[in-house]
Amino acid sequence: MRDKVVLAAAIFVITIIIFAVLAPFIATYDPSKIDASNILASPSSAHIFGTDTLGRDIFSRVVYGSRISLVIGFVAVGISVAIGVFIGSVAGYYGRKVDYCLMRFVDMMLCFPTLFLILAVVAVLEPSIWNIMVVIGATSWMGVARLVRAEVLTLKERDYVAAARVMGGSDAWIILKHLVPNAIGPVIVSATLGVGGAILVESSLSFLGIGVQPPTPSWGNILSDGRSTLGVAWWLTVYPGIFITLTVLSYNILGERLRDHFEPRLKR
Amino acid sequence: MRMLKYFLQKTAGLVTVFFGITLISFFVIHLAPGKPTDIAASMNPKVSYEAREKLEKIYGLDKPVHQQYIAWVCRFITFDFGRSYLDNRPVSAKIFERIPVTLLISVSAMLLVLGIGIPLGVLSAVKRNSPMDRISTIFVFTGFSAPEFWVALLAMSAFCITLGWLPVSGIKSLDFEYLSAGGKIADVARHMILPVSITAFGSIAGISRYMRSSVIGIMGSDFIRTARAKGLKEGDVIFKHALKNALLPVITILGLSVPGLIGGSVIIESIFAIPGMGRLFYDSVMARDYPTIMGILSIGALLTLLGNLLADAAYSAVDPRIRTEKADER
Repeated sequence: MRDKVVLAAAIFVITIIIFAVLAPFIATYDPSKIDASNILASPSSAHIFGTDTLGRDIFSRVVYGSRISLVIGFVAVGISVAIGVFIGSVAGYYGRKVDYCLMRFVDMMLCFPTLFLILAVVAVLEPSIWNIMVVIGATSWMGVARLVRAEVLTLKERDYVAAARVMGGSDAWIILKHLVPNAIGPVIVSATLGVGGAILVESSLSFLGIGVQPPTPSWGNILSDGRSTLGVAWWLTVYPGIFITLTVLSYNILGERLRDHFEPRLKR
Repeated sequence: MRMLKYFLQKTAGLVTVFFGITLISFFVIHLAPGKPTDIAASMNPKVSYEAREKLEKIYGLDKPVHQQYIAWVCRFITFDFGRSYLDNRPVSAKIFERIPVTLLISVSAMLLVLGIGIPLGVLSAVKRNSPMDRISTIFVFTGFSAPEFWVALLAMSAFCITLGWLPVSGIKSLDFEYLSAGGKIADVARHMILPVSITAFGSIAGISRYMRSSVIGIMGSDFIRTARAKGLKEGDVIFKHALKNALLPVITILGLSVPGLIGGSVIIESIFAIPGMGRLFYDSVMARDYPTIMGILSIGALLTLLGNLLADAAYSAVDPRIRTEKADER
């Protein structure tokens, strides 16, 4: 049962990646082609997910939207992992005052109502895909930093690290070659879960109108269009929402599975 | 005495964190290109360069950023957040008239999270792998994965549009003024049902999940085996021995969920057209109303830190080890 769920999640994740890579071949229409004769058409064989207020095909928009969502998810997580690993390993390795200051900084970032901060930054800096990725990454690295610090704290007492130090290895060498690779398990888990989180934040921002700007389709802004036609055209709201939920769900399921793999002690 | 010392240390730490947060917010907002005076001045060809400089001088925007920050802190200590660039009203007045609504929603949501999430977690831990546990696991994963605003839209279309049971938006009906006192309360409550349950939805999932794994962890420990061995009823083992210990990590998570709750108010309040702090924040960000943005960010941080302090107090009330150990440690 459990394995089947994980398998289904993996298949869904791969499907979305294929959607994103091969979007021009999978989409049945041009995602921004306006068709005035087909406004708000309900789902049919011609438009399997229906059309929106401008007659654009929702399925094609969802397919193209997966590009934006995935790119933002992956790049934002890449940024947050890079910051988290750097801060966590430096804090754990040097300990004492460095550790104390960096961890207070982490506490501080954890106290931010993150969405407020993101909103403020994105709004003052013109919403663009790049800004959104950087801001999501820069506000979500704290979990990784804590994990890496905890791992490094125990790893650095091991004999092989002492040996590396005796042989004259520099701090940077020890951190990069001996500590970080051994702490990578929990980082992969939290990165997988993070992709889902980043996709959620992006969709919220686009929904509020300060994320990905139209006409570029993203799952969030398709939903945002659906808001005004909620009572008449349910398909505008339902389909992109299902895609966001299933994608995030799949990454969460894979993340949990990886956690069981890397930390068998916690297996439940 | 130790207890007092512990809390004094804790508070000192929080004050530092608070000013750190305001410092970051201030620089992030002010270093961005563009000035609020742009809207009034540069977009308008009739405004001369001198007039614009004068405008900037009035708002203190001509000084270096660090001086502006120091000026802001000095005013903040006296609870003066400055005046809004938009309508020139004091920012504190603007915020304080909005806070009650947001707090009402957040606190009710929190109570709902505690009331549903904890029993749900305990139940699925005790009856592990039962159909109940399976269903709650599915619910939990959906709660984690479905975007809040999407759930809100679906609920709105089901309960407000199709079924017509609940009001679509706002916090009171048009005839609010003419209702009796009881009617007023019922009216606000009816408007609050959806926003509160949707705010709680994701957190219920989180808390019940943590509660479940925490209880499962505790149930395997030696003192539970001892309690069972001396012949206690299973109910007593769970409620008298396991629950108190299992609550500890959950309290920490609750404290950490406060920023999410406050941040989420932006989305919920904008969907349901609720005039709360989140909505005010969204409007101020759109208008680049720096003093209001700063005011709300610091009030938000203050509320979060307060939540953490409460979580800490709860933690040390449940676990006596904390009070002594932490005070000694530092």
